Amino acid sequence: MRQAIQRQQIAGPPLGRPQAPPAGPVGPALTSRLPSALLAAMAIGAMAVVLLWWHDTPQLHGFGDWLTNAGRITGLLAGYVVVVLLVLMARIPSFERHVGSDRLARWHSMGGRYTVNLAIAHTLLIIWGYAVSAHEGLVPQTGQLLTQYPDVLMATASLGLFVLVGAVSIRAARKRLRYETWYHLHFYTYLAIALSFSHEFSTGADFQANLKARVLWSAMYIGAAVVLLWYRFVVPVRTMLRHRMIVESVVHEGPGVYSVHVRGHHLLELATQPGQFFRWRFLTRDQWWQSHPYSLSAPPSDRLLRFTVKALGDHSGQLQRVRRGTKVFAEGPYGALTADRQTRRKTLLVAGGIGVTPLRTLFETLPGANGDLAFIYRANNARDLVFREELDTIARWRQASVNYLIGPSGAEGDPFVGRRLLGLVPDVHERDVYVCGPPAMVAVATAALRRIGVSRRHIHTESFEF
Amino acid sequence: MRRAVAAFVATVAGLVVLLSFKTAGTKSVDRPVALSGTSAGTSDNGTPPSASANPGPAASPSPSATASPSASPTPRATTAAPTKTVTGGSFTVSEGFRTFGSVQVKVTLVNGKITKLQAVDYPNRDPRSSEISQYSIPVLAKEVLAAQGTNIDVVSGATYTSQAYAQSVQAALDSAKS
Repeated sequence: MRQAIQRQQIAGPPLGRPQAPPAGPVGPALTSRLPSALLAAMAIGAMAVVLLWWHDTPQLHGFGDWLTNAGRITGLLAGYVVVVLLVLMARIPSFERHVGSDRLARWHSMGGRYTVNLAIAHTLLIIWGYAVSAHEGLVPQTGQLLTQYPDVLMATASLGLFVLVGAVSIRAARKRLRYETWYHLHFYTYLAIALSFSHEFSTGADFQANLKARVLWSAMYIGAAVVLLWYRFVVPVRTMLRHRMIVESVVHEGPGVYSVHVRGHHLLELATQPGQFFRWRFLTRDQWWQSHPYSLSAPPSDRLLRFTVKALGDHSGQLQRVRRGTKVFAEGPYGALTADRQTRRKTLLVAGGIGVTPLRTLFETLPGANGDLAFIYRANNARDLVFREELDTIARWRQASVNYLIGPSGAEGDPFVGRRLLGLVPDVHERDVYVCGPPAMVAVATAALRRIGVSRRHIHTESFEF
Repeated sequence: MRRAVAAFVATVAGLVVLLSFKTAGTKSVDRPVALSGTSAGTSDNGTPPSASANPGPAASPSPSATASPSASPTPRATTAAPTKTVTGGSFTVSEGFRTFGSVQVKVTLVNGKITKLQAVDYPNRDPRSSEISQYSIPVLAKEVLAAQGTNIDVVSGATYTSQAYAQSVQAALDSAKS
């Protein structure tokens, strides 16, 4: 029986149940501090790496020394940043929760580009520096490095892989690739890291006879590997065994928009915050290998989770054909667009298109008394509005306002033109503003908010693109 | 794009600052700092000097230097032969904690004047080390002959070899005096 789409809601999450949200904001706590603390920790690590070089290096003489040592520093830094990049992507819950997956992904991609450039610089500077010191040409020096230095050939292959992954991650190239292709090419970085590791010890002046440095450096790599295995493999497997999630139903919500209801056990133990998402993986023959992030579109109950997807990519298109009873492998909860971001009593939620999903959940659960919540839902077309009924119900229950603004951007219905937002929400300056939607909409909305004088720290966004 | 430029500029600036602070102010090895060498005549790392098998780059003494003993022999030097050959200690060539090998120099003195230097051991375990030795040791020998001591310039690109070389020569000179 392949009855995938069920038009009536079999087991919709309870709506408007008397679960009174706490009054007053919880306070930013970790969410405001952890990102800067993490940045500081990364910087301190980089300084420690430079210090290792400083400690091991006597005075320099001449141009060749300069080049060689610039090459050594860039090489050491590349070896360090690569580990940082892994840790950023390790799905460490506190990072996901308080820094935010979108920000982590942004840092990862910036750091990734930087690392590829560091590795290239390292290679060129070492060749040039050795050639200058030995009074040799660049070509014979390169040949010598490749053939006579231990593990340098492997490291060169590693550089090639890094450059390849870097090249396909460049925006222009990435647009032409399927997400899955790009994603799987990324796995080659593990190979690249493994290939480059041995030359760090066998030729690295800072490690050859410095046992302490070798131990610490290895510990850093092993630590990253353990964290990665733990959070990306062990924890999700445990989640699967404990919660035994399966697809309960797939519900059609609007044109190309489907909600997936996932049944499981002890789901409240996951401590999911409204506004968060999971990375979902359906264990069918053709889909098990890909996982995708989708926000919960309703507060979780102990037996049921609901997430909602708009059919955009290959994967979200396949979702509508997922059978009831399909086993689900979920990683999460992740995401920092939660009540933790609240700093004020009043809140405005601004949704664009399918970005409504986490905000729909927050609308139901955010702390706030009557009238503290306002919702703006922006879509190009009335048909694209989903959850209209649910939003109206919540609005009645919580005595909040919902504004549906429909029309192409720049037209009458567009609230982000000029100072229109101020007319819609006169007390916007007293509110935290949560914005969620497609990247372009988030950018336009943020600009509009800034224009009417809402400060950056009261605008909370999460981009759907990572 | 702006961020990429900023990252590039910051990295280059950081590197230049770091490297500048590490660059030697004076270029000479006035007082070689003891790295990990021993005193004259002993080898500290058990590496047998490859003197016989591998004569190595030896400095050809300048004609003026060899000529000097006959020019003015000191009248009081009656006890010892005017020519004395001393082998300095073996000094490790290391960059940070990385060891490339060691340098040991045999110094020939005629009436207290350095006339001939021969490196009986020098780093040659890997291609880069032997290459550096090949070009730096003859230069160092010439410098010592010219300076008649270890107050010499470091050979660019061969800082550690230069230091070890100067140390070995100094050790030889010290033991020749005693």
